[in-house]
Amino acid sequence: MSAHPSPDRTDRTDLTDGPARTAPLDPPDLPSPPRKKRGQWASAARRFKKDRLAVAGVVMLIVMIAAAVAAGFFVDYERDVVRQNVLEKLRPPGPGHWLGTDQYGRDILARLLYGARYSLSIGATAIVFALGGGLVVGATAGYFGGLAENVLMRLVDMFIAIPATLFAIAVVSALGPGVVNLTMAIAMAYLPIFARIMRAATLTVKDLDHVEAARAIGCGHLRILVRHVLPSIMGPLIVQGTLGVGYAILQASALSFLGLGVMPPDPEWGAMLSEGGAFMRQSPWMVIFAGLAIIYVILALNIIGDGLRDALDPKMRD
Amino acid sequence: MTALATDGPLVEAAGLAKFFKTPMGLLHAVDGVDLQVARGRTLGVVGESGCGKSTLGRLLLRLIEPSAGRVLFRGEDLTTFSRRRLRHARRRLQIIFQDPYSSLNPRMSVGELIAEPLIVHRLGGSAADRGRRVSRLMDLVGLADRLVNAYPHELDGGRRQRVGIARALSLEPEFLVLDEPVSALDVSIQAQILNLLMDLQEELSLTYVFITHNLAVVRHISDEIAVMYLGRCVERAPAKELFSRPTHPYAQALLDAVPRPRLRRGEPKKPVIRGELTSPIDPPPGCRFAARCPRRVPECSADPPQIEISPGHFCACPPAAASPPKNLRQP
Repeated sequence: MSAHPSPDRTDRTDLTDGPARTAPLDPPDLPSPPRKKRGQWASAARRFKKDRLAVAGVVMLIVMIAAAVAAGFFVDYERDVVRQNVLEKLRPPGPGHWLGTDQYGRDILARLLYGARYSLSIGATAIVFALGGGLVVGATAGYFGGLAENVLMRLVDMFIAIPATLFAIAVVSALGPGVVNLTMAIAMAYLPIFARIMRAATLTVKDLDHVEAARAIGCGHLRILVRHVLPSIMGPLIVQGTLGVGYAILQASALSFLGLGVMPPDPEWGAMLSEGGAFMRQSPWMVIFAGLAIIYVILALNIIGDGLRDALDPKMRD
Repeated sequence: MTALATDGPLVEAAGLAKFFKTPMGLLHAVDGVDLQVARGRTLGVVGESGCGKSTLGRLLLRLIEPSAGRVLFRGEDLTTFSRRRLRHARRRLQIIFQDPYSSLNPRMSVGELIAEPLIVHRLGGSAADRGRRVSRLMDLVGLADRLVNAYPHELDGGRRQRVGIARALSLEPEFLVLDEPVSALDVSIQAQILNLLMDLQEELSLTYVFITHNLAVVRHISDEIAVMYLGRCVERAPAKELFSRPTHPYAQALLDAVPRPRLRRGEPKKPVIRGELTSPIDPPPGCRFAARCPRRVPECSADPPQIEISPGHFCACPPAAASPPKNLRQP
């Protein structure tokens, strides 16, 4: 290789006492053995496991899911969940009916456990679709800008202008009631909201130097989006997602109450909550336990979400 | 090197301009800049904040699209390249960023960061080969091997900048834009990084455009220096010549702005330029510096031509070029 030494250039500075480059810098403060190779996900998992609160959240959620699954072994759907028994109606919590009975004499514990199947799956599925769709729309709009952004975001604005509940009602009315349609209706109602959030998050990230650096080394748009933009907007994504499940459960209950979602006599938490409202004075347990079940799940999800957000941030200590 | 060498400059810009639309009007960030950089040489670009230095650097790499003008790389016009061809050309054209804190993806390890260009361009073969190449690059820039799995936040500024340099070098580029590569670093680290950059230039016959506002640094590393003011190049000369015979009133003022001890009581104080930087939005025609210039004449309201005062020394100020300073300044 022929170098081009420039004759009229001053010699290298010696502002430092140490050798400039050849010796690897080796101050004693850093741990000297090379750190083990650990993937991003593996180290995120490690950080998550160290977060006791987050692990507790996972345990809470697993307990609820396990209870919903196990319910099939302990309670008979026809006999305990659906069949009305007027003699037993509005019993307070006690032996026989641990959480009391509702106005038709049905055991609230049994209905809550079965209801978890509906509520959890509707909430989670709806949010996964809404987040996924919102991410694609929002990240595309935010990253590319220009015409794509204008078209996508004006559409989103249009949908946001319609209240989520009203929009879901419209969708279910069009598609017909049922659990699947209910889930899709909720997903579509929340998609524009997530799209807005994801666009905003993308905008804050896309002009960062490291994204420009990715362009400078010749990355394509897809790689930049997936490898450089997406990981940086993971935090708001996860937090919004876990919060969203709670909203989705409530939304599902509202629609069920209107007769557009889960049809009675199938149990669903939100439906149970709103039915209980009428009997709140004389038998508050109907509202209390349905509400507690919803709070329990949302709390667990929020704790998990916070833990995930921290675990996915490599700046947090191992 | 191989027989790539041509007689012309490796990188050449002609009439390069970038205007940004703002609600107030058209912002002339870079406005008709011509420059040439020969292979293996360093062109220093100096100017105060907001004069368009960084925009110029990005235009030279076509990281942003120019509003007008051409960038020739090895005689080929980069501005006409298709997306695919441009991505391919990125192997030869790299940039080192000012801020080593924000220019590295915080979620990628040092090894991943340096290997990414190789993956993107499908170079470096198998994962094991790539690992060896990353290791060689880390050695080249003076990073200890054990840092390969460290994350950027675990490194200090100097090491991060070394990661940025290794990443840029992984594609074996010919031309590097150094956008204030040491401005964010401690002074002691600055010298290390500058020396590293100069060593690498000799070893790999790299061609640099070195953007900075630091006059001491630019003088140390550059063969030729261009002084920018509000998007225009006001003076361009070999480094020594510019420091000893600055001709354009702005270049003189810029060099005078460096604080210097007055050794004798009788030494006159240097005049300081008055006024504020005029707005780069819809500027009036003519010399950008005219509003603040002590030597203003009526002709300054016409766009000034670049006048060659001595070989390789261009000055965009006809009155000053007519009577260039005779006595050499004490550098």
